[in-house]
Amino acid sequence: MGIVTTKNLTKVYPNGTKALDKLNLDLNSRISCIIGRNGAGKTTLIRILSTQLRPTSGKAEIMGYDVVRDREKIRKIICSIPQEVKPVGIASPLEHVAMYLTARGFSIKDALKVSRGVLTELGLGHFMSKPSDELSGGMKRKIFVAMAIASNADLVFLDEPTVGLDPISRLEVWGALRRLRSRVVLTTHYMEEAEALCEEIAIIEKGKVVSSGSLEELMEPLKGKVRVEGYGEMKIGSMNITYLSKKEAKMLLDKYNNDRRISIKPVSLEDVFILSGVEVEKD
Amino acid sequence: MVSRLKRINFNWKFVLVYIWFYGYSFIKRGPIYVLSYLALPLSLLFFIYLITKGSLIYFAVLGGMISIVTNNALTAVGDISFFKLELKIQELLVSAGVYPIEYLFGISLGNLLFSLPGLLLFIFLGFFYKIFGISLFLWTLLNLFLVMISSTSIAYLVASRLNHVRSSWGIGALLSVILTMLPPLYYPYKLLPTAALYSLLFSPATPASVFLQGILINGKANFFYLIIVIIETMAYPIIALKLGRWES
Repeated sequence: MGIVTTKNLTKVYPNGTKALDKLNLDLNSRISCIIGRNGAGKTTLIRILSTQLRPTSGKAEIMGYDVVRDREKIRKIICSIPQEVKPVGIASPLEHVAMYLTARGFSIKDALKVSRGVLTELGLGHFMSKPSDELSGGMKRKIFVAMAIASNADLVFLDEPTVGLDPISRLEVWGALRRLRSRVVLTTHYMEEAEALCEEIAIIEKGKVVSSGSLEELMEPLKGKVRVEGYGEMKIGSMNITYLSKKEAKMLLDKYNNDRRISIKPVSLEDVFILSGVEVEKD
Repeated sequence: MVSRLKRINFNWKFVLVYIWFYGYSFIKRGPIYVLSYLALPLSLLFFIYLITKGSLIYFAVLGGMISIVTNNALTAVGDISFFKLELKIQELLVSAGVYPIEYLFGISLGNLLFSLPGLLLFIFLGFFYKIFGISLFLWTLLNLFLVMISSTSIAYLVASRLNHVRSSWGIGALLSVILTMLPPLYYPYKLLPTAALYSLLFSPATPASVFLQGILINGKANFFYLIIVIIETMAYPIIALKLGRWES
């Protein structure tokens, strides 16, 4: 029984947009990550998995529970933080987190105690009673990360949890996520976030999984290679790129007399993403 | 509804904290909103007193109370749709296992708390002008509570069906006029032709006002209208829960 399993999961919106197209996914790690371009279907997938949205066809299960049939059971074991969630400006972080925890069944006393603890842990201790509209964008985002941490849910869905956070706040959130006892499925645009946090990564494009596995498995095809920018057949925006062995790259630089427009960089998850079938222009 | 409450193991803790979240925090940090809801009833009280030389002041006070409660409930159209479409708070609560009926109660009672400062002022005026004593005051409170539940249900139903926040405040304001200015809140219901009175009964404010005008002003209770308020208080939440959009 996987933590998240989908089979031929399809979602077609009433306006005809096919957001998910027979998507098959099997996530089993403590922290899994779904990455993809804007419009790839990440948010639709998270919304279906968190019982917000019903699929058009196919099947999705969370820890063996069907997302349509068993949605009330699933809601007891998950915490889902939507991508564009924002705090109510007039209410404080403490009121938000405590409200969420009582919604999940905490007693009022425990909700307040746990909320205070987690907000302090995330650096919001001095701001927990201020109206949220007086907080910075990063602090507002942390309110919802605090909900996820405090929820004590078996499985936490986080849709783009660190969007808008400064580097220090992002590191604080990463630290908090690592300390979470829950299993986590997160979506992100940040490759370094996926590399830093996730034991399992699924890349989706146009509603389908185009690649999945551990970071090591995904990086395997690029073993021994480097990214050459300013040269090659693939074009991303105005930049050409290609992947060569270190030896080939050195020969190329020698051939072009160390042309400054050509540079060599180590490969990363970003390159797996580029090569995984997401649409890039080719010469 | 009672059987449904039992089945879903109604989460009162959430409702109480939501009242704190939605009602108390608004009173504490946004007292200007409380004043804004008082502006219309107090203005009408002033004009009615001036024009009728005080003879219709009873209607202005009674209408003001019902108007505060109903308007607070109806302006929740904006809040509910904003929380759902813009802030995604509803989405957060759906996946946390909150049931729409709990949310509806949270908003209704939050609105009631939010209405309290204005209500207290009008209750004071009610006692000051000797419109009611203690026992008649309890009838008033009961009706205000029922009107709050039914009006909030209407607000929830409308708000949950909206696809764009931009239309919500306009619809809320329009509903407010239809459901509080047309019904006989600030004038004697006897001025209305029977057909017009019956056609306005869809607004919970109408039967509540007619019942209260009967016992408080005319000294004669017409329980037919109280029954209508009770029926609407049961029917509107059921309709709202059936037809409202809770999940996406």
